[in-house]
Amino acid sequence: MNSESKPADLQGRLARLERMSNRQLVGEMLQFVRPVRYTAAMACLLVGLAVFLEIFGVDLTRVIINTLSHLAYPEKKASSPGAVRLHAAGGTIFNSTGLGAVESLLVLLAITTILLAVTNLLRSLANTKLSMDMVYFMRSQAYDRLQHLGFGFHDRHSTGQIINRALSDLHNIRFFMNLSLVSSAEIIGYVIGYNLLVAAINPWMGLAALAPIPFWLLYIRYFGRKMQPIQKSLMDTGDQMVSIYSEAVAGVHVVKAFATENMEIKKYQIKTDQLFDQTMQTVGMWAAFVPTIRGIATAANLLLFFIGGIMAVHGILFAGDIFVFGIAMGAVLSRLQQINQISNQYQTAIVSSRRFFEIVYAEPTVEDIPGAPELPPGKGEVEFRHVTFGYKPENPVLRDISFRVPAGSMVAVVGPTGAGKTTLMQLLARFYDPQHGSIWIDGADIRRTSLASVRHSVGVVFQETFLFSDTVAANIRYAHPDAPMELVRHAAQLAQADEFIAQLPEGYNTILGERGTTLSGGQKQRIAIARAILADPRILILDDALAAIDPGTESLIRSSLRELLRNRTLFVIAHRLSTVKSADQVLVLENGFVTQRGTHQELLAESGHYRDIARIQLLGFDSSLVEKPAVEVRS
Amino acid sequence: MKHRDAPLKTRPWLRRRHDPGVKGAASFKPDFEADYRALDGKILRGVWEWMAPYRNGYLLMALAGLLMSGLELITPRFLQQLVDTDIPGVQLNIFSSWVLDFASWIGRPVNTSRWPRPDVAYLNIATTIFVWALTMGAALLIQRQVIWYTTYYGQRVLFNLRAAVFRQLQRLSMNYYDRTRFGRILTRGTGDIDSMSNFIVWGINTLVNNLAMMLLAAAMMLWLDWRIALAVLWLGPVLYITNILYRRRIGHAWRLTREGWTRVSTNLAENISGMRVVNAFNRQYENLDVFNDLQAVNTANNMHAALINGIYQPLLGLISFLGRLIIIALGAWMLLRGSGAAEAFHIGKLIAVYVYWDWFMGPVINFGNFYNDTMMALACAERVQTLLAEKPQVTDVQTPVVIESLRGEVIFDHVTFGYDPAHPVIHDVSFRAAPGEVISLVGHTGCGKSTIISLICRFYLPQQGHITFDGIDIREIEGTNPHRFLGIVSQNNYLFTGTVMENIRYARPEASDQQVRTALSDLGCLEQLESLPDGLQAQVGERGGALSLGQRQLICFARAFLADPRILLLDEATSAIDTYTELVIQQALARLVKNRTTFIVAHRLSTITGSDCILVMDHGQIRERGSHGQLLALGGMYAELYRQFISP
Repeated sequence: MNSESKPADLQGRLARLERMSNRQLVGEMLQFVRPVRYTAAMACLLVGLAVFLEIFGVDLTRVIINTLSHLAYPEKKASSPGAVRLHAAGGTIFNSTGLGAVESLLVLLAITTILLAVTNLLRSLANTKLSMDMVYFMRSQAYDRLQHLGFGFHDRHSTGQIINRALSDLHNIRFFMNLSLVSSAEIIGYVIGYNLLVAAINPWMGLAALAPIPFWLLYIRYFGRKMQPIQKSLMDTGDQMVSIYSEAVAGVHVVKAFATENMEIKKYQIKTDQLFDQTMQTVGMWAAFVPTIRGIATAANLLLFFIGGIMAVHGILFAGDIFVFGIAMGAVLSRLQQINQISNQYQTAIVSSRRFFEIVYAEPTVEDIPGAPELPPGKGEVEFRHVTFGYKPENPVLRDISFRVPAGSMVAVVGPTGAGKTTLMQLLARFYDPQHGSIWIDGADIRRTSLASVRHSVGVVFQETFLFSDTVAANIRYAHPDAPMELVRHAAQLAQADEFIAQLPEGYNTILGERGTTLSGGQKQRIAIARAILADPRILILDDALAAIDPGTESLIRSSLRELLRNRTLFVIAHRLSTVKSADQVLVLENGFVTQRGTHQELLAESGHYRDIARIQLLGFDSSLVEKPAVEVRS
Repeated sequence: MKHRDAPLKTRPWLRRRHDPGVKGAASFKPDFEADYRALDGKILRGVWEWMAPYRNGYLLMALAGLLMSGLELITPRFLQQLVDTDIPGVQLNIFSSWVLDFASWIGRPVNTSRWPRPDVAYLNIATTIFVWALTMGAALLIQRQVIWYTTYYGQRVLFNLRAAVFRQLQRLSMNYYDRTRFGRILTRGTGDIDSMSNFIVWGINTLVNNLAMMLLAAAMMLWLDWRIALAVLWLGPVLYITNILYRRRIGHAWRLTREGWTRVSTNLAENISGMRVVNAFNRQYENLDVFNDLQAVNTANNMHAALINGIYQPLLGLISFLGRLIIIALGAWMLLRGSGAAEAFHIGKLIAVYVYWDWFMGPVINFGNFYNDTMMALACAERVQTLLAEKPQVTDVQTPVVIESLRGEVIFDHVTFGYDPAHPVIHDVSFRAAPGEVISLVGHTGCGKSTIISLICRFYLPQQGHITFDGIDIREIEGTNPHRFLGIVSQNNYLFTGTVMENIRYARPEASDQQVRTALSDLGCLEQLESLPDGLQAQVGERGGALSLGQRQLICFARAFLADPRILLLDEATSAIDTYTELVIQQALARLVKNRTTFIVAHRLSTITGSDCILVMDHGQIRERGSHGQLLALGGMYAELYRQFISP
């Protein structure tokens, strides 16, 4: 069966990811650049232009100073043709305007600077466009994947983990791609540009200006290597510290109830102390790094000045040339420091991309066959044929389950915790596909029909209620956002929710969730039931959804459901006998097998789990009549 | 997947910026916390109080930073000397004279009058570079110390603050947690403090250094040539004002950007949390559209910010360039006009003024960033200060009583309470639980049962009336004291990351493994928990996520049981447990409640039929009280509830 090969396939793809070297990962990351390649090229081009204009401006300043020095000290002989190169150019351009040499150079400099300002404006826009488009594309892709991966993926990864991947991991990758594209272009442009400038003034000086670069690169590499493990443990400790903090806040009622405040404080203190020590360790390294990098630069700079000064005395160089050395070294140094940032970002991006690709490459739990037909119309007849399923195939949770439910009936599923009741229902909604056997709704194998039509036909009210931070009405009309208000109100009435909703501060427009009104567990469940009712499925599943509702309300909900479900099939997972009793059929699930089937009366007649629990629950009532508790609470 | 290869539909310039206008997105405006706070003496004083323990260190490091800047500020003068060696007729500079003086002092005088010009120049260059190197070396050594010590003091302050926030949170009463969102409380101790770090570590240093740098650079310019200096220094204030305007506009744009981003991330986070519902109701495609719309708004906001940034940044550059232009033009004029004169304006001076101008402009732009940092830090500081100033609602009296042993009598005497005092949820409730009695609370959702449990736990204090343990008003009892005698299992079964064993031991960390096992087997759930993959050493996951609801509740039971409380509170403790397990626990309860005062809140009335007293609550009042039999005979509310419960 093809479904059996799927987990292996999935593992193969993820294993390939694990085997990938860092370089291959960067190759994989390039796919995110493809959709924005034109913007990226434009951004790089503008960077190049900006670097060129800036260096041209510096060169103009140099020529101005040289010309001034030439004019001021005419007795000095000029043996370098470079000094007057641009002087001549400036002169030619502005001769017609009648300006002098210095004046025309100053005008040229002003024009260059204005052009540079405009280029920088365009560059800032192109850069932002690049980064926003890239992130748009990546996030949209990740979001789409996450929505279609299905339950399997969400079972394996905690919510926080996934959110982190889709937000901060994605951000790390994007930041790195952006930085490595644009900043690299900038760094390369500056280093080459300034070196060409210095080399054009004097080739030997150009060579000398290159001297510190290997030292810088070696030191940055050495520092990065040494810093990396410390940085990683620093991040880990930071995470642990935040986790202690957040648990102490989220579990505050437990902390208060057991008066363990001081224990928590101590736990936290230990972590903060550890984090402080690690922080200072990195600070120690930074405190050495910054002066060292600057020291190398200063030494190289002074060397250049020394040689330059002597050359100037011999008339080979001029004042402006020496001035340019200072500017060039400063500019190159400040860009080279960015290499450190890029390499830091590279390390983070590698870690992040592995995690992010786990989303992008993950196989969906349930594959939708392209062009699969819709589920045929029907009233919700359900059949399980020899269904075997386990979240891990080697540990089946359900074994060889077969049963048939006629349309329009109510089925109760009972059994001990962990027997597989919820799993059974999730298979029916096709949140997972079974490893063996098949599930049929109204005569169609649900695996061969479109996923959307199955989900439309099966409504689920989950054990743990999840409502969105939106209005009550929006939550109820979640399945049909355009449903009119009457339908919403009607669904709420059926779920016995209308009454309390009306009492909320803004009725149906009250906002729920953390930012809004908080509801009790029973109220939330009722809204979830209303949401499922409005979706109008042919099969409705209540997964222990009445547990937090008090018995009075529950019996009202049940009677309205019965009304509603004339033409529908209802599955109820429940512990309370009162709920189970009214079912047309009761399935008893134990250890993944259906051990008993029948009506309440039939099952009471045979020995087994059902009669046991019935006895436990009913005994309480019977004994109470004779004023002797079933469970002795006092000696 | 039809959307995967969909073309990017970002046409950000066409979209309106402020209003997401997204159909189906939450129709409310999310509330954001302020990012910026205007300068406020009170907040600043508060920040200074945090820093005060290390004020000497901070001061010393600010002075050291000043020294460093001073040394670095000589650089343009060195450059000037270097360039001016190239001038015809140059004299020995002061360092060279020192070298010659030194030479004659050690007995090797040099006669310079016979030197040709290059010799003078060589000596000048060598001495200048040498002294320059010494100066820079000293500056870098100082910088190393400044970085280390400043960060040390700053981090000390930050870590003390972290600890203070955590301690305060532990001290605060439940009412703080009720009215404050989880995310907010989380931010106080994490993001808020991180956002302040730059300000707290480097704030003083940045302020002192930049100010000094600016003033010194201006002074140097004035000293070198006051005419040029005056011609350009007026641009400083112009630049400063432009910068402030820019900050203001970009600040607004950034706020929009952050709001848009918050919408994107909130939408993502919520849909991932509710992924099961999304899947169950087939909302994938609509959700992707909503998400992409939010993203497009986010893109538009960012482009808007980039436009402002793209206009102002080059503008700042242009103003600074105007200064350079003036310096060069004026310098050129003076240089050419004054050539030949004795006290002439030399080319080196022009370069030095030019470089000092850059040094003067740097801090103006830095101040813009610093201003930003400060506003942001102040907003965070204010929030942290508010938290630290928060008074716990439940506080000890002057001389609290410490109870050594408790019999377990609990009395409510005309108790009225509301989470919001204006809306009481408990009205005038009175009852007495004798030591060892089992009291059950019954009633519809929201009738105040859980509130009574919280009041017994002293999570809140009643607005009227008294609650007494063994005749002592709980107001008089020392804060954590009653919790030694209380055990609670609530509907909300919270576990901490760690093993099953650690969680059971939570209230009594000193209990041995054997004691835990004994407790579990007394409860009758040892087998069930040992059958977990790693037995009692199994990890429970984040908030117990790796276990089923029933298993989580069993652990909570065991946790309360091991604590061996005098008063046991069970708030809907068995609702998620299947009937079998519940039976096991019911039987264990028989042993558990012996000699303890027990309060039970339950929907399943079968659980409570054997109670000594059942309190039937309705809208915060006790409607009926008595034993199961008495209440049935009464034929009131309880009898009705019970009838509904047993009949389908």
